Amino acid sequence: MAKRLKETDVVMLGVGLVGSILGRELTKAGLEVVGLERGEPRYTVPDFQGPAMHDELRYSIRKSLMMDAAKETYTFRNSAAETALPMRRIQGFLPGAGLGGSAVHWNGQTYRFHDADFRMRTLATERYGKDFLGPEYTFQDWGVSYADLEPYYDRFEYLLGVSGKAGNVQGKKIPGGNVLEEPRSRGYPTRPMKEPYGSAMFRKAAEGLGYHPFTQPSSNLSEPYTNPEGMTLNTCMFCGYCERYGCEHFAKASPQTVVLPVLLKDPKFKLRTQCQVQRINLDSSGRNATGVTYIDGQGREFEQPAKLVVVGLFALNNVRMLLLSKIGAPYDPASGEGVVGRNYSYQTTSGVNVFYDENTNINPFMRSGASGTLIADFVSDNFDHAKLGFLGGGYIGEVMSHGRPIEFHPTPPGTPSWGSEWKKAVVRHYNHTATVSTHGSSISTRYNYLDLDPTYKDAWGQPLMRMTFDFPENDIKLSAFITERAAEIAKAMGGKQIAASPRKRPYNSTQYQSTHNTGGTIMGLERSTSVLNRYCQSWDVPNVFVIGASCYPQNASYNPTGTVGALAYWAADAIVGKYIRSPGPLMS
Amino acid sequence: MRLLFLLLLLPLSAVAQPSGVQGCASCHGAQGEGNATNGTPRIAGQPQAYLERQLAAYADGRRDNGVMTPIARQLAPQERAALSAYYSELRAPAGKLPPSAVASVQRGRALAMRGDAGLNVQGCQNCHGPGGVGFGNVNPYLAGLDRRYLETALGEWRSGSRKTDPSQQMNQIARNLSDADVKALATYYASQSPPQPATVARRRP
Repeated sequence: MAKRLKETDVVMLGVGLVGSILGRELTKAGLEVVGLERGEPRYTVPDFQGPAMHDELRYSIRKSLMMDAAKETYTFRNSAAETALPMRRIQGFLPGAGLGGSAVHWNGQTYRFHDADFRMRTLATERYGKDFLGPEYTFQDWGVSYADLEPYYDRFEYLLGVSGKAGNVQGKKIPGGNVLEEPRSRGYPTRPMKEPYGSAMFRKAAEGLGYHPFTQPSSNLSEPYTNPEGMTLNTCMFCGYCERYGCEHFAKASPQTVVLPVLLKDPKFKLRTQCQVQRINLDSSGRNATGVTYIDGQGREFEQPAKLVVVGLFALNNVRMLLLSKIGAPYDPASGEGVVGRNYSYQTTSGVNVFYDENTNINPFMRSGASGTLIADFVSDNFDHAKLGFLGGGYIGEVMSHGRPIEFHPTPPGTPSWGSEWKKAVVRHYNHTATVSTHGSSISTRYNYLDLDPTYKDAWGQPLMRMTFDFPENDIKLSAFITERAAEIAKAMGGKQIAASPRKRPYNSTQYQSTHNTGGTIMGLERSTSVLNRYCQSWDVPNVFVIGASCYPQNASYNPTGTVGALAYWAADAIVGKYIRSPGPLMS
Repeated sequence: MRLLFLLLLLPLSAVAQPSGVQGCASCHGAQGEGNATNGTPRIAGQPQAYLERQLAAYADGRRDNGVMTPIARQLAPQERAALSAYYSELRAPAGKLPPSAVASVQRGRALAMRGDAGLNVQGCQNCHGPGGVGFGNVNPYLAGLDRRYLETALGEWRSGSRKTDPSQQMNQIARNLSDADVKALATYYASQSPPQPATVARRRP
């Protein structure tokens, strides 16, 4: 029997990036907020301190900061014709668990999407015609434009202190920055990061081919910075332990370093950790949420009544929470009807290794999660797709994040994958290899989707999320094209040999590619094709807001975190400025 | 093969005293063990690159010290390199560890090992190695250094007169520490045994 707690104004599901920002904005507006976090509390001091934090076996291989797959996981299959099986280990992507969520272990790559991403259906139709891609592609407009989100991107970047060089400030192009970016209202808060050697060679090669290289915008900071919350971040030390790790130096922007300490001092915010939310409760009308039911670390069940429910879990778990709570119609791939779970998309990545002679020392260990140099010439709709037969794009860059000993051992094609020859090759190539990556968009189709698994359940007896995904033909073509461009640059980087690996089907959930899972609770302008309206508010249950990459109708070329942050501030503004004054649907 | 041969010769050449050592020894001690009576730090076994950078910094004003600045300015870059190499390989006995107040050592150890969340200060050992034995070529060891020297050094970081950390991490950290914390840290590290230089064979080029 659940113990019923005192009602609060807002219950926040997940205290990660979204939960911390929303918690701060809503308490500032005078609301009482309860934040429920499934994992444990953790802070820069003492939890992220060295030398324990550089334990690669513990954090990279055993994934100590991630969701515990022994308690809950996802099931996976490549197509609806297969039977999905549970991922017994977290490998293909990294859902964070614990205070601060995945924004603790991220790399800090911080971008803005393009207007062509937000208004993809409209703009692609204008430029390439209505039937450029087949009817199986379900990409659509977000219901917001780049101009709508610009002030919120700006706010998020100044919260994090992002290091970079602007290439387009209010329409004025600035050489050396990303001249192909959308106009920003002002430059980055801190100067760009230093350029590693491999990145410098990439820059020279890309310039030689007529492209526009720039330094990657980084939330591992280039210099000390104090943000508008009064939090001070330090300079990144290029230790190469960002993704999968917490930062010991207060140098990586994470909830812990940019806002949480301020939020936790606010008596209107109550943090409860190790709380596993089971469902959002609805009243008998099914149109109004009354709060949530959760189970704490001791196995006790509680009901937390609330006037407003904000869902800010890992993207896949946002979808699962709505399905478990029966909010919105589940998507049915057979009929194409229903919305929750629809338009799941991912990220289409590939790599090109450049192998150098033994006099060229790349020093891959001297990196930062978001250091490096890239080009945006093939991002989004920055290039003409008319003759290419696909939509979307990607960036190409020498953006290596680390040279950690267990994970980084590039060897040329033909090297055995184990044994003494492999060891010899690793020694020979470790310090003499640069990696050029491509990071491409992922289009939504009617065949890729999320629903509840009919067989497998979590430790609390709830059905697992089932993922059905394979790379769409559009993205295979995209990867072939963009990996060829990357290989051309790689060839111009002066190595002895290159090895390119364009993305191939089938998607394999046991090999890490990207944590960027998107869609499933998508935002839009029409309730027949979206779960949320343009303010991230549920069409069906207006006192539920869902914020995160699950709102994306399809995934874009760049890393998604900048847009998650912008949407968090965008939705917070809608809640504080509109919803609180007059609770109810913000769009009809 | 020839490289290996040269490496084997290195300890011999490193032990040979370069010119200028007498001058250093008058304050830093015959074996670079430091001098507790006037707060001159121990330099034996500090990384060569670190020592060389400090001499360069004294010469160009990034470190300001009435005694060291004129000396560093008189030394040619090759002489600084030779002296740094010499002292980096020198083994010196640990000085008599100073008796210290227990509470201060405990606070200093806590700061050294894990930092302080309230002060936004990370643990010293992230960069200076577990127990403060140094890390790599540029992060000096702190264990067994003179207490007054450590206090002075943190004071210089705090005031900004020491400009040898382009990341400003050390300046930020020192500014966040209270006077009592500076004392506690200096007391803690001064009470630890200094590391001895690794042999050349163990140090990969």
